[in-house]
Amino acid sequence: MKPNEVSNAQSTVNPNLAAQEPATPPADVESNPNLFHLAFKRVEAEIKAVPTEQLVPINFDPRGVVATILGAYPEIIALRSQLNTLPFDISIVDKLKDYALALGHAHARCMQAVEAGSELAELGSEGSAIRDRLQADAQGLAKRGIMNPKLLDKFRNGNGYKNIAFDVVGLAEAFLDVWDKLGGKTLVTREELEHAREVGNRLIEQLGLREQGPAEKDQASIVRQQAYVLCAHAYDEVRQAVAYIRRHEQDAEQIAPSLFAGRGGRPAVEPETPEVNPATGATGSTSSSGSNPTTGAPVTPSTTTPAAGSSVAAGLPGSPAFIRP
Amino acid sequence: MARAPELYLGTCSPIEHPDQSSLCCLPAHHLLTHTVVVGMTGSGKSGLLTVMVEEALSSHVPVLMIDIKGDLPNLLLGFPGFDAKSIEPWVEPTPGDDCDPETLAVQAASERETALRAWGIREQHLRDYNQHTEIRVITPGSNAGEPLHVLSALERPASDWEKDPTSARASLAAAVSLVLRLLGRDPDPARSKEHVLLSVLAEERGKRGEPSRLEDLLADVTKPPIETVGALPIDRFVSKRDRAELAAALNALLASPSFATWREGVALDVGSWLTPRNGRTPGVIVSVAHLDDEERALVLGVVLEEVVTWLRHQGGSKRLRALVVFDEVYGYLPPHPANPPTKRPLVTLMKQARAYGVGIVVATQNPMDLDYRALSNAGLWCVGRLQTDADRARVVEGLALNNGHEGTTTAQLSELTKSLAPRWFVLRDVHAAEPTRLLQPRWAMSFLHGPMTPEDIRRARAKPLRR
Repeated sequence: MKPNEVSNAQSTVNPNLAAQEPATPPADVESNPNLFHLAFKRVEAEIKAVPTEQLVPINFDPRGVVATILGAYPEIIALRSQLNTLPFDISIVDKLKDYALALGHAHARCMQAVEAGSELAELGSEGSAIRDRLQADAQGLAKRGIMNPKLLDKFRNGNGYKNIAFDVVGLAEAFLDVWDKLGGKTLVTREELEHAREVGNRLIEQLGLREQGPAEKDQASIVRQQAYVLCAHAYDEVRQAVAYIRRHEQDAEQIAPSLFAGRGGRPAVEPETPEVNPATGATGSTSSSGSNPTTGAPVTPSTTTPAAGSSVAAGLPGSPAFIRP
Repeated sequence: MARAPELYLGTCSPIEHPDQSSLCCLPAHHLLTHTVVVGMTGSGKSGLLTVMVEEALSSHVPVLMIDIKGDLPNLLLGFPGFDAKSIEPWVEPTPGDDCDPETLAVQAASERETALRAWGIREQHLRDYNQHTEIRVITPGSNAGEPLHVLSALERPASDWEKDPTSARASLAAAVSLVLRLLGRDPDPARSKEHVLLSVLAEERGKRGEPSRLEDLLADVTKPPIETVGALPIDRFVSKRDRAELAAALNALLASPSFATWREGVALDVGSWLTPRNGRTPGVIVSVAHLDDEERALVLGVVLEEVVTWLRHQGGSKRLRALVVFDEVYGYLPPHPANPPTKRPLVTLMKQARAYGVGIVVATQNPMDLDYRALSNAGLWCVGRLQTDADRARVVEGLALNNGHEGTTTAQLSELTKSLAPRWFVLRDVHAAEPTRLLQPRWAMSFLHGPMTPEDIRRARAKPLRR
């Protein structure tokens, strides 16, 4: 690498970028959500080519990963000419943004699959109320001979979401069939019928999603993992390359921050252990003793009574025998 | 009369009063009627097995261990003291942890010392244990531990054909299955014509007191020294063309450098493995964690058949002469009709080993997959926490088969195992005056690093712990 290239690159780097946590996605992403879908299509073949044995659990929030990479991307791409001098596949840099956007898309699809069917209860309740109202009005109209009473019998209070959905759609259609004859003889409005039809149809759609959901969810989850592995691996490669070309400036972490940044370490857990009697090596009072068959030496493990709710660490004498609910 | 050795497993307490504990020193001969350890992941099975092994070794009882997932090689980490320096190479920071390895080692050493002292174990005990035991790890098909000449049973001159043809034939069948598996051919003794052919040829050699090296078998396959197999002429049983193909495959196997690791290393000689050397009681771990499932079953089939053969050469004994421990037996002792190569020898051991003074210990986290008829002889059960109703029902069913104990205890056991804390077990010992108690195993003297990879095993063997 030529020294002047490093110096030129340095001038393009915003040293304050690293302080952004999480990074903010660029404006073009916010203004055009379709970018995610298009990017996914561009790299879909690569994503699906990630072997399943290479999949790892997703231990970051994918949205955070996407935001971090998209936030870092302008600074990374500014270093493209220097990165291109390294024995390194530069196409990874070019595709990094697509990988991140594709991960965003795969995550959204996965969440959509997880959410599938979640509106059922709400729609079912609304559909049931609509059915009651339409039936009440339809019965009056049937008595006046405007609607067919036998037809209405088909839409009577069947249990389950499927019955509600078909009853609501059927009743709405029955009203619409005779709408011209009604001439204001009902409180039901045309808008209400359109709404009923929509609720019935959405209920049927949600039922379908619920039935198909598990398979779709599994598939979406695998694709998300594949996208995650591809994206995280590419970003890792890019970070290493950036770390090399910015080794003298030592600002690589600011240009391409670690995905671990801000996650913090595992909180230190102080195991609560009973106080050890230095003379006997035992904890607390001893209620039993014997000899160690290993050596015949006396053994005096603590066999003290654990207090209720005792927090003696597991594996030590006197730790609670049962897990309390 | 010398006092029967006792195994200091931890503390025991009545089920109704877990706080009223007393030392649990199990007479070693209680293990003769075999032991089953079950519990979900994290219930402390591996820790309890480690303690059992440590105690058996301390009582000068040699132990042969079968290791499926890499936990038992932790016995290599039986450090003779409490110092942090020994532990340092074995502590690993959790991702995101800021602590340096030195600090982590000090913390781990301090935790170990506190816990062992709480259980009454001092540095002197650690030193004694370390000085009087010898842990070996044998890794078939790999040189991470001591490599094993898996086919030594096949290739050495056998003297068993006259004395014990049944065992000799079983050992041979297991070895031939392994060869066929390595050739990528059907290893099933009941289905494979090639298995029958190789077995017949090897048996002919064995009966003449000659070894059946693969080179010899290759020559025999090409030019068979026999005319018939069963009632059929040999050419009709396996055509010349098929035999030529088999010979070519055997030759390719012999020439393969990767196959060399299966034919080098310590001989498969259970008797010598379990013989004390230099005053040290041997603990031999056959670790197959690095092999794939089919290879594991076949290799362990060969090893266990050899254990059966060794067993039958022992005299009868009422004291515990040796212990065979099988960790994670899941899939190797399944209910009918599944019949992996390990099942026959395991069932034989469960039925017959007692008479020869050999105790069998099996452990699993999946009690649904055990042949409970085979376990009906088990006199000692250690049941840790079980999460699913199906698992609990299966274990209780197994215990009922075994002991026919009263219904109240059965229901109680099912309820107990649901709520047990980690590292607590329900201990059912048919030989004890009070058969069902709670057991809290002591802290293991060996440092429990977690499952050990081949590289870990290599590292642990490279640094002897002895002082």
